[in-house]
Amino acid sequence: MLHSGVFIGIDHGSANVLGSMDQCTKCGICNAHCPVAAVTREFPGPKYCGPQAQRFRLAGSVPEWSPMLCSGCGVCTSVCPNNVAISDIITLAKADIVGGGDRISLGQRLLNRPDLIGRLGGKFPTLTNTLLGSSIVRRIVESLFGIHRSAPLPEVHGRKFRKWLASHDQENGPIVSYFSGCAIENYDPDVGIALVRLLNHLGYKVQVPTDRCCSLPMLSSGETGPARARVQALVDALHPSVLTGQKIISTSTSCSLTLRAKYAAYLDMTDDKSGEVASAVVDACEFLLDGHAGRLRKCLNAMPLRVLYHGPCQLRGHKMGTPAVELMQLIPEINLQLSQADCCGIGGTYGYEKNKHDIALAVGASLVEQVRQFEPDIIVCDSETCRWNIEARTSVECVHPVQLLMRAIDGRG
Amino acid sequence: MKTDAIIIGTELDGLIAAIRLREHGYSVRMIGNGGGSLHYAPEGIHVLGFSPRNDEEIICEPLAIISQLDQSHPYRKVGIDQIRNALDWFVNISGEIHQKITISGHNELAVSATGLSIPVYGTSEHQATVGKIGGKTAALVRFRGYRDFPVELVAIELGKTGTKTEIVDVVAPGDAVENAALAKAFDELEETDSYFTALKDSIPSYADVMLFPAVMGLSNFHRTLASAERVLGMPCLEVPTLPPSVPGMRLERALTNYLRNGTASLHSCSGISGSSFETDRIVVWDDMGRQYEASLVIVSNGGVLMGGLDVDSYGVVHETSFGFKTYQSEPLKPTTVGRSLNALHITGVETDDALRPQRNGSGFCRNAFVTGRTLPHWNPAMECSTEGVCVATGWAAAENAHEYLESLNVA
Repeated sequence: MLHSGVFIGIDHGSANVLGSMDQCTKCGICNAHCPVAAVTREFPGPKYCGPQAQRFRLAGSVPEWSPMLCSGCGVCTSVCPNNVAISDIITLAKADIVGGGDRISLGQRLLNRPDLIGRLGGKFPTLTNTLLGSSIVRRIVESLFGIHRSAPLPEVHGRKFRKWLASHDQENGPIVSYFSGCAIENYDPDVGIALVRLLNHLGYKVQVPTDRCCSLPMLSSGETGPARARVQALVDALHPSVLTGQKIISTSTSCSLTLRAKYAAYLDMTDDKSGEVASAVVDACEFLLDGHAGRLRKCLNAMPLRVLYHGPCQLRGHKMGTPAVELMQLIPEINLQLSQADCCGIGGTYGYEKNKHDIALAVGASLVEQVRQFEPDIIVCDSETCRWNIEARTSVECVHPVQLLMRAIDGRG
Repeated sequence: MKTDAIIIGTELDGLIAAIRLREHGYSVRMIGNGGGSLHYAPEGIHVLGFSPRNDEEIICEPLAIISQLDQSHPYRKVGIDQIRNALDWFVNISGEIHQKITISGHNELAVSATGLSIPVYGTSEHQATVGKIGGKTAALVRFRGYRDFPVELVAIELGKTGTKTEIVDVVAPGDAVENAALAKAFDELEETDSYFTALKDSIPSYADVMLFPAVMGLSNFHRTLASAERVLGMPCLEVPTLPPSVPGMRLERALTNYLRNGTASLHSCSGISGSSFETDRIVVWDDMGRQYEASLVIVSNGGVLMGGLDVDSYGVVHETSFGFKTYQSEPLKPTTVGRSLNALHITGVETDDALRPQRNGSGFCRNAFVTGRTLPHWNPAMECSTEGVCVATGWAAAENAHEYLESLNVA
């Protein structure tokens, strides 16, 4: 066997990321696929902003700001024929520009701490949701923090998932760990509930080792300084489960990609412990498809709905194809259409910022148009900020694939 | 996660093989590393433009001279009957899912990105060819700020073939300056008719054909060009641009979307980090450590150009996914390759007539097939035969794989 068994998380530190710039042949394929460069000339495209400008950055030239306009979708890296880590090069450049977080706006600082906001707001969920639903408050928030007034802020839900889990009886079975992340804990509890029920249905017992945030918003906006301690604490919290041989399942493709590959790339966390955690992380749909498709097929009821699936950008970084599609195709009578858009535009917290909101709208225009033409009953997407964005822009309910599967099991088509 | 076939690479040949295997009812997983070489492909099906022995000899009827090619050329391995079947099949499927392709049985002369005439076997409706514009007066569109189309050069070269040109300066929709961005701007243009109406005044009255750079949309190009013809009242044709090529991207899009909706698994951007090769079972690991199993594998990873073949510091060529035995005419050192690009093109994985490679001194594999640019003994650049060889070998590999999978079922 030739297999080396080396995972991407272990041997891809920032030196490897930056070193890959020399593989660039200037073919321009990345620029041809960049959704941001297609809608604004402010962003010169991944080829110039990534490998080409990196040479000047190494020479200590004055930093220019174009990397801040990159949404981090990663399509450039995925289409590069020469394995240049374009998107990671740009993200590392962002961290340099903002001095690891020293020169970052207050609004971005807030957006970078979704766990903190969710926890504070979750103490008084009704009040918070009412306040944030008011256009006057949103105007004030916009002028104070630069968070665009019509950016799709999710509702806070207090600790709904935790409370549900505490009162939820699970039968004994093989144990798996679920990395819920700040989105499930604070904003989108139904996805977590659906996953736990689905895994119970397949005979697993689910434990949730931590409610910490993966810190992706910090890493992707360059706030690497404060991120380090948070990330280390998360790795420490997850590692005991990994030592017992458990997989760590995630319902967020962005959190799981961060756990799998980005701590090494952005924080040089290439130690064994981080690598073991990285290797244990698996996307929920990938986990379900691998060895459970047969059992699922038997318990899925017909669902004669028009379903539009939008694969989030991070799927490309995961390199796992589209397991959600393969799962949904098991549902009888489903009318499934796949999104033709490269990106919904929101780019995590990218489209929340006042000065980038218009770019995000333009990037997501083709998806909105497809929704208008197909008129789906429901939209499915694996990533939370994409779901909030798509729902806000199309007024069509947008759920995680495990929610759709659980509805098919419950016969709620 | 087992499938009948794993296809390494998302080149044209791999996409063809995948679609054909799906038609036979097999499950297919494609694992491709990056954007394929369709990003370099201009419009049209180039089957054989120039003689492999003498690149100044233009071929008129490519299928008539297949039997005169060297025995080792991929076309000879596929054979004339299979080539015909493959091309007919491709014309059909292109008509269904992408655009109509016309094959007249002999080569046309297509206009290239630099205005030169290139022999092409299958042409599309809006492709600029010498046959369509020869002797006419063409309004040649130059979009303001757009760089990837050498308008003056095209005008000079077209002049030599008897086409008069008048360069017309036009403002493109949006403010894009690159191929794909411009194409997307056209896709999103809501009122195409009024856009072309506004353009009408700047076009000289004596022009009888419009030539646009081939950026008139990625997915909506049919609509945009039809609108242009309706409003401007004359044929509106596209001339290829410098790469990345929008027509190539359109074809790649059409084929991958067709596959995706047809339940094939596409894992774009996964590299192969390892493999276990047994006589009846192939396991590959991607570069994230995932394991995939299949009964057979088709290698269509684009040769040296797209990283499917690697050259070491001794100038020796290696096949990167499985270590198949390769052919090369000479060591590929940086010092010598510059003098003979031919050596770089004609290298590849040596196969038998069924496109099956060899491993480590053992015989030819029963459960592996090699296609397209990964095959040796042909020079796509010199022969002008890229799409033809890719379609023919991709189709043949799928047929041979079908035969093999059937033999497994019988056993």
